[in-house]
Amino acid sequence: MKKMAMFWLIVARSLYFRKLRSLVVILAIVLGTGVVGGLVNVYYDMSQKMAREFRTYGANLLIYPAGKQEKIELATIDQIPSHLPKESIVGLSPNRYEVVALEGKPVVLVGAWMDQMIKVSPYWKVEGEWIHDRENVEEIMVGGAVAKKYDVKINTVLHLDDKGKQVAAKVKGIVSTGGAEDNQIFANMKMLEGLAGTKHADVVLINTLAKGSELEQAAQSIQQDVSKLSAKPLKQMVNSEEKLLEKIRRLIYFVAITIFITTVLTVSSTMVSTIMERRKEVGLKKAIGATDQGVMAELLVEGGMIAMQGSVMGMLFAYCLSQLIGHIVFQSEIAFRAVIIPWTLLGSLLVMAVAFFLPMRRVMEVEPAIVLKGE
Amino acid sequence: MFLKIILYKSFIRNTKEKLLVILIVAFGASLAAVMLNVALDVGDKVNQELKSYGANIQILPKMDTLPVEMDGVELSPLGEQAYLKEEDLLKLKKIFWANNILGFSPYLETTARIAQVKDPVPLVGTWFNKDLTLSDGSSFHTGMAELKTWWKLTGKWPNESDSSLEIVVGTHLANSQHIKPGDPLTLQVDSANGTGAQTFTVSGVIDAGGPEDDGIYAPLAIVQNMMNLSGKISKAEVSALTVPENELAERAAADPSSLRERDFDQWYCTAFAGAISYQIEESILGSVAKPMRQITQSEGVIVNKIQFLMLIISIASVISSALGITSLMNSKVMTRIKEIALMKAIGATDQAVAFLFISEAMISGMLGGLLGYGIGYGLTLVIGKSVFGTVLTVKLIGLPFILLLSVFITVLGSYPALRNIIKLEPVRALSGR
Repeated sequence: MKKMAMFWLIVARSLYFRKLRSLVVILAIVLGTGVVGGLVNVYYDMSQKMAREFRTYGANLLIYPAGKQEKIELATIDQIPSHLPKESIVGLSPNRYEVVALEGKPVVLVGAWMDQMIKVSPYWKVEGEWIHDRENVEEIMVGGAVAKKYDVKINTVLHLDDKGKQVAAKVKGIVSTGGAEDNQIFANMKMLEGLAGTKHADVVLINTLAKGSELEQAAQSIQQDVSKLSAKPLKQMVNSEEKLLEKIRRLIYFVAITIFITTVLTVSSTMVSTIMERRKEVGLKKAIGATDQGVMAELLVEGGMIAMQGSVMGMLFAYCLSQLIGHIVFQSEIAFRAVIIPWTLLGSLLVMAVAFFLPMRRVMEVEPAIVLKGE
Repeated sequence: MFLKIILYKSFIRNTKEKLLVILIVAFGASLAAVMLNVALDVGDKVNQELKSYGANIQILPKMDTLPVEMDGVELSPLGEQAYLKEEDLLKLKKIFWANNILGFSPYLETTARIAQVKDPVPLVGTWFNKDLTLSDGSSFHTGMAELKTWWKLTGKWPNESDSSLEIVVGTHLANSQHIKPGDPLTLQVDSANGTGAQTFTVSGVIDAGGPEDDGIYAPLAIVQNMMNLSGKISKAEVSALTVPENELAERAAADPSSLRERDFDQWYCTAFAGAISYQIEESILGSVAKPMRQITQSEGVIVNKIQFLMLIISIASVISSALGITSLMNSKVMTRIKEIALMKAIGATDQAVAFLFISEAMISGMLGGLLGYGIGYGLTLVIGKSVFGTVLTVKLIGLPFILLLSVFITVLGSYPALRNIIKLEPVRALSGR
């Protein structure tokens, strides 16, 4: 009992009196495990996080009526979401096209759920404001080319004419995309229904996180279960997204390994030199009767404690780092994986063990008389 | 003079010890160098990967009327259609950012009728594999095969010689009409002067994963002949290497002429999609070049995110290697207590001792930094090869930075311990306390 107490006292004292040195080693371990652990977290969460970023591209599932002359019944749209994986829909809006006259010239008027369009097409550049309400029938958004041609400004009131039926609407925003949207006018579905007197859609645009085979399955099941619809997934981006993600992940992997090696090298070299310094202490202990095993156990426990402290703090640091990356880069949280806890602990203990056993033999071989004499 | 001898001896006598320090400094420095290289080049590399998203700039003829287009189908009356000249596309390789133009392809779009199919089918004339000879004599290879890397082709691309009558068909159309590569297909095209019919050989079927799967693609010259529009194209797509938009690009997009001269020059000489489009409009008369926001915006978002991620990772790894070096130098100085005490005992001033040790640290740092930059260079090549499959450009600007960093960190690492030891009384240190 007394012997144990003495053992712990020696370890505690030794750590305390060399606190500056221990601190440096601990700090190196904290940073090493922290950075590696943080990277591992990011590594696992990357694809999910990046998948959202990739959706800036816009709709990747298009639903058309089965036949060319047919239209989509609005009621069938409600059946679509259940065929996609849960919570994978970023945005969904039906679109309907009508050619109307603006100052006597034909222009395409697109009816949509404007509150959803911002999610379906996040890449639109909008001067002024989006229409955020599906029920709003007083306001419209116009394409950049239309605005330029008819000298339309924000708040201008436009008179649209659909075969004699007139409607006046205020311009809330001007849309530029470089694509077909520049030549179109956008309004809520409800406004077009009022103008034309019929209810239907020409296409449904869906922006979904589902990709690859998941997306194709969803398209197939929509086509089979919802009558009179044909679903077309856009596959062109999926391939390059996957490839890119894989590359970035491999890069992170590389970096994590290199940082791990640097940490191992510096921690072990520092530990080697701190242990070598203690030959005199070891000699003294042996001279007053300590066994080799006893001295070794003391040094090992000491190192183990440094490693434990370092890795516990390292994990905290890892958590902070992954949250930092999550918030700054992706504006969302990154899940902390419990997997990294045992691995960080094991890793740092292993580093310590290596750092101890390398110089151990030379330290243990010391002849007390020679060391203590001062040479 | 004397200092030099001491320094020299210190490195010669203690080669092994010094080598270890240099090696570890080198390792840390190499990590910093790699991260620096990767962070500097990752944007370009990611951008190149994203090229399979498709062309990012569209060139259209300038028109007086707005096109009336619904879901990809052009409704404008035929007479109002304006065209660009095919030969003008060569000018794309003469603009300021010519080297960033990775590929381009012209299109002449119309519709054709096929027997047994009720609705007209989109027919597009284009280049598949075109070898162009530029004005400076160099050659440039472009066309659909280069531009649409994600298209899966069964069979082969059409032969583009003048007498060729080969086409490729989209997979949906091919499936519904049971068309296979090698089959004949008769197309009817309405043009301003009557209807022409011609029989082609289907050389391949394409799977584009989009609306293109319902169309037919033929060599440009054939479609021009059928429509009686020789040398004309209705639009062109350009794939350009661009940088993500910033505030300046947004302002320029609204109206380039509103920029002050300096801002304008800076914008013009940066590879923004908008600036490249502006230069295209300048060189091809009667054209409107528009960056495709759907493409440029998603590219921009992704490139920015990844660059940012890499930056944070590099900072973290630089800090962790710096700390490693610091802790190492700290313990190395500690082992030399006696040497310092002895020097002081025989009359060296504190400054002289500090100067000696700091010089030593600087030399180690310098050598380690140099070696580290070399190792980092090799590692960068390895990463470039294994991760991106190409060579990452190593910018020499990294070298002075890495050298400075490693010297600074090595000196910083030895300083606190050195200060403590110098303060010690020589007698105490030498007597073994």
